[in-house]
Amino acid sequence: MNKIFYIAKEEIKILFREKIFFTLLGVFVVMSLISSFLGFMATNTTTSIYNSSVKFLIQKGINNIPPNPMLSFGALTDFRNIIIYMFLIGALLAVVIGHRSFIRERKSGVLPILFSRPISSNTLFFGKALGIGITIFSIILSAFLIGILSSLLLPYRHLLFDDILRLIIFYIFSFFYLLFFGFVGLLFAIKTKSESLALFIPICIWVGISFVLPEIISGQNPTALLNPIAMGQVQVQNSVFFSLMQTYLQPFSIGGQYTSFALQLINNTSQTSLINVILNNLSNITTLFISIIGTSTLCIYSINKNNIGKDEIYE
Amino acid sequence: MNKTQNIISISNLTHIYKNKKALDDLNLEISKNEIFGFLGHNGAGKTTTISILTTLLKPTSGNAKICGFDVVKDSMEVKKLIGYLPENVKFYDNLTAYENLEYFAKISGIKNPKEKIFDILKFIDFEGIENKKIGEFSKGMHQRIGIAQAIIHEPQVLFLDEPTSGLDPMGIKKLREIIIKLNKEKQMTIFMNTHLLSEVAKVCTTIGVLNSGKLIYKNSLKETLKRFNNENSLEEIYFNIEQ
Repeated sequence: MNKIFYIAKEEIKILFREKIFFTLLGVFVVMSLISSFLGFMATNTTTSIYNSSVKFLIQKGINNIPPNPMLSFGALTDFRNIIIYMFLIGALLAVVIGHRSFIRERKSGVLPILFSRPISSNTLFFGKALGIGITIFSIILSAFLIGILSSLLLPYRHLLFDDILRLIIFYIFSFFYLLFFGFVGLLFAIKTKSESLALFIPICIWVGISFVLPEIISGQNPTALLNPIAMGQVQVQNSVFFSLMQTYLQPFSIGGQYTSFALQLINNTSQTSLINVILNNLSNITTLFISIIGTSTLCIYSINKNNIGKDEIYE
Repeated sequence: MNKTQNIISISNLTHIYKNKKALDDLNLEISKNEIFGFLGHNGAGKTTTISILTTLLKPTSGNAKICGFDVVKDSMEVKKLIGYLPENVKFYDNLTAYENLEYFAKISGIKNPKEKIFDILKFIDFEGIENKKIGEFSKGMHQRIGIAQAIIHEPQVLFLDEPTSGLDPMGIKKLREIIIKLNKEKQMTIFMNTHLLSEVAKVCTTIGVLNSGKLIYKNSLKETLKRFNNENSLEEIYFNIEQ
């Protein structure tokens, strides 16, 4: 057990000294800030227009004034952009973290020493997994704190207990979603000797999960898929092809399932209770966990099969 | 374990890479406290042998034992008994020498390695570099840190793969002294792959010559020099054996 912690500690120590990690983390943090700001600006602009309209209507003697449309969205609506940043940049960052985790060993040439030490493949994987997990958790935590802080600093936001709970569940689910991508990055770094190929394959998988599958299944156009407000509201193309694709590919569309669950958590706070949102998405949650377990198993199998001398040494 | 007991036993070891037979029915026994020099030209199968003995590679057939433990079936036990310095050893460049050694010590099961690290660095006459990043190290410094990581858990057998490769004369001399000191003071059995005959003559007690995966010669250095007393140098002896 101790060895798992040593490996994880080393993993984090090295990662936090790499420029590429800080670059991506910086982009993600800035995006989280922009997300909060954009959410606030959208609410602020709509509310300002609404207030002007109310003033105008009162001046005209009209008393039957409709409520502020922003109120129907709930306080969490300002967080809706973070879904997309998590879905795109967060997942990509996780791929890079997982990829660096093992490719670093291969590139630095420490693999022969590492594999000649009394550590099992399970220990090595769980150490790496813990390191990746803690790193992703720290990123998620920073995004969460930025969101909460901005909600305290910016007006119009009054987060209730239910909102905070939804937000916590959203970030926990996002953590596991990113962890899956971290393991995908790790898997191909273990399996593939070429550094560029080891990054190219997970990025292809990321593209497939983030864009291709959700598009094929939903029949929506790609820009609609990237719009957190339009998601789920855009008219889908109705055809036999999309219907078949939905039936057979839906279980594999982890990205589509993630956005669907995240949207239900964040966008429709007043329409469905939290417990119902969770119950309605049990299959999505299960799929994600099965994917994580599957990828972990493949990682352990690949480390076991990694006949290190065969790959690294030839004489 | 007495001095004549075999610490390394290799029986009918064969390894095939795709279509190439890297090791062909290799049989070899090495006694405790020997410094064994494994000679052979490039591609002879030396690194394949060392990779199997250090559990990095599974043999196609045959078996090898370290202190009675099978390198395939009891690989975890074997790993506890061995230290390994690969050819062109490298470390985590972003970490300091101390951090690298601490990591390898901890994953080798040493819980509080601080004292051990300083002792080892003193032993190899390499103090004062603890806080330097490995990325700033020269090839010779890498080799010495490599030796330090390989012996930090006090293994019974130390495997060195071309340890002097790429070193300057001073680096070679220093490394040679460390190898002899390890054998004399820490009673380590040393298995050294090399193609430098000068190294063998100055360091080893026994030599083995590998050619196309087959062991074609094994004897003590003393006996070898006696047997080939007509030859002027170890180089001539080597060519004589190879022919």
